[in-house]
Amino acid sequence: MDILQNLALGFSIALTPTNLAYCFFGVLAGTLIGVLPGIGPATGIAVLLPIAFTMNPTTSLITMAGIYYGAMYGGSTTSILMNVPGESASVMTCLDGYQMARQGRAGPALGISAIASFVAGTVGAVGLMLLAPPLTILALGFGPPEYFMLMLFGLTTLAGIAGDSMLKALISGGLGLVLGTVGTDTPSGYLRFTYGIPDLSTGISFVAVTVGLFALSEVLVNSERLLQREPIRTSLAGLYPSRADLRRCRGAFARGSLIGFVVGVLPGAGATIASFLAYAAEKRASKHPEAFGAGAIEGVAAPEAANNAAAMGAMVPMLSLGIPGSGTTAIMLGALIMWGLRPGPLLFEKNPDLVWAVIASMYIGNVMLLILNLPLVGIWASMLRVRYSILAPLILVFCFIGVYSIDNSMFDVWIMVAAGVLGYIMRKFRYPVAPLVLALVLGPMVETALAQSLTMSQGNAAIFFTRRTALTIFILMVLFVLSPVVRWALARRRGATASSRASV
Amino acid sequence: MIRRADQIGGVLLFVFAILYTLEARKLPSRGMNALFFGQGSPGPNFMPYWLGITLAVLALALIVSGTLRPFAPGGEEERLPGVAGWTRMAVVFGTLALYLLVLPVLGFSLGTLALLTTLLLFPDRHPILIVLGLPIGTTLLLHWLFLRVLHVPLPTNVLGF
Repeated sequence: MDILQNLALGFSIALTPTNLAYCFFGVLAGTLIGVLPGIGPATGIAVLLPIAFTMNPTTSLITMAGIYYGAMYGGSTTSILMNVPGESASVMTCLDGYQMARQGRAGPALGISAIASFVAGTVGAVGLMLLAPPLTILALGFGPPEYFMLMLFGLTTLAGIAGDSMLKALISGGLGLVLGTVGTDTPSGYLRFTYGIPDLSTGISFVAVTVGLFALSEVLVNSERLLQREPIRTSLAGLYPSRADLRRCRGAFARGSLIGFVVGVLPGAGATIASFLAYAAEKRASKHPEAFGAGAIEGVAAPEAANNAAAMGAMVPMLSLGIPGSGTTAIMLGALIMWGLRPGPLLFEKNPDLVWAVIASMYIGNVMLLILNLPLVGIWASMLRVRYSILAPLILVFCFIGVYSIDNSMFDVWIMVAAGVLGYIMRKFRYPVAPLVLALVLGPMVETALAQSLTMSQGNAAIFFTRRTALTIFILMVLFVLSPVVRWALARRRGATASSRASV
Repeated sequence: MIRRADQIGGVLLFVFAILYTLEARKLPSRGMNALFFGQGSPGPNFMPYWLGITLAVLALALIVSGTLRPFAPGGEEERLPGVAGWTRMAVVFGTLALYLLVLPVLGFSLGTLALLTTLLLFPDRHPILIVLGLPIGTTLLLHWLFLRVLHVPLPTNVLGF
């Protein structure tokens, strides 16, 4: 009952003309960001931060969330028409989407992708609405030791999953923590690593680092070569999938939504992994697995449902626990902190209007996206002809505006440039950048929670292991860290058993 | 390539981690903290110190993993740009750096006009209509949106734009 009342409150705020307009702007910008190769949702949100800071926090969060899930919708267009994922979560959509386009079925592929995104987005919004409040109630009993363990868990999971090397992800996270130690030490008020530079006393600008790492480094990487790919020339007629298509995709909608949401809730897992898992699950469940990769419509529906549901799922830990589940939600979390809001259980208590308005806006945004994506798909497809060399200068200008306007500081702009170079090097040598941003956001919070916990215990570190919830989180963290070793040992054992059977 | 890069990266990271740890050791261990918290709480040096040591261990692990990785000739070279790629990137990066340096003098509008025009001419040349139209249109739009509508303070020249 409480949920319905809160949702009604959320709708009353989300349906105001201003919020509706910004929700529309967010999903429109998100779709565009998703459509254009070379710009991901994290980059999009980072460069649009200055516009977000001119609004109140509720309107701003509605806009940022719209960009996030809008990009998931838009990402499928390039996958289907160009075989180039608009963002990493759309990689799996390429496999069957592009094959469908080559067979002259681009219309139904785009149509089913929009419908899958709508279904999963709505399922995800319901999931967020049902799951976040109980988590919040649980988290209300958390003290500094539990928060310390939770944030450590958040850092560990992202480090463990991001990229293809756990070691490099840990190093990336470590560098983020190092950057987080620059400036005033929150518990003591002592200045660290500032070397007499006044601009560093408030710490290294989170926005500058984020824009540099995501947006500027992306421009640098893409500027190395001429990015020009022609979309496949095919008819977009017959956009609406047939009844038979829809019947075939019912299971894909359900499985994709469920897998996507669950994976999205896990800190660090994210939309990309969700779409991989959903595709694999759909192939396994299919009576015709051989059709996957050759233009199976379920192969489009499942990953598209999963990446949208995951975007919604990633909002659960961010809003209810204050733990970002992905690079994009880390940026959103950082923005909330800059407004002086503390994401986490207290946000539901103190700012229910903000949280519920954002949740309500997701229902509205999903309807807007369905309307935007089905009839206007021809316009989105034509956007694909815009060359990256035209977009890059515009992105650079937005990067500058985004960073400069926060504090009118050229120092921050040069920090962005340095972060851009660092991001370029990291991308080239396969270091994931998301853990660095997450660690930069969480680092000072982790340190404060550690100081508060040890103050509570008079310096006794046993406090982290004598409190049931903190210990449970610690055990989960250890299991997570050890899971690759366990998987490797199991695979080895299976391999040994198989070879011994073969020799018999 | 990546194998060698991991070894070099590991050494650089190790040196950085050691320097960072040494700097962290100079910070007070409790000091001002005791004013706010009990004697048991860690001081400003606690996290940087242990973080530095952890980074040093990770750096050593990177060197070892880079050394133990089997050598795969030609596997990763394509990740680094050739001369043409470096030149293209240098043009973009150099133009951006120059833009930021002259911005306080030229102001946002003139500077942005120059940046956009330059990057539409180099490294890839676009049709003249785009080279002329896009920078002017974009600059006017951004000037109106950020300076007039959103009142975002951006650098201006002596003439006020």
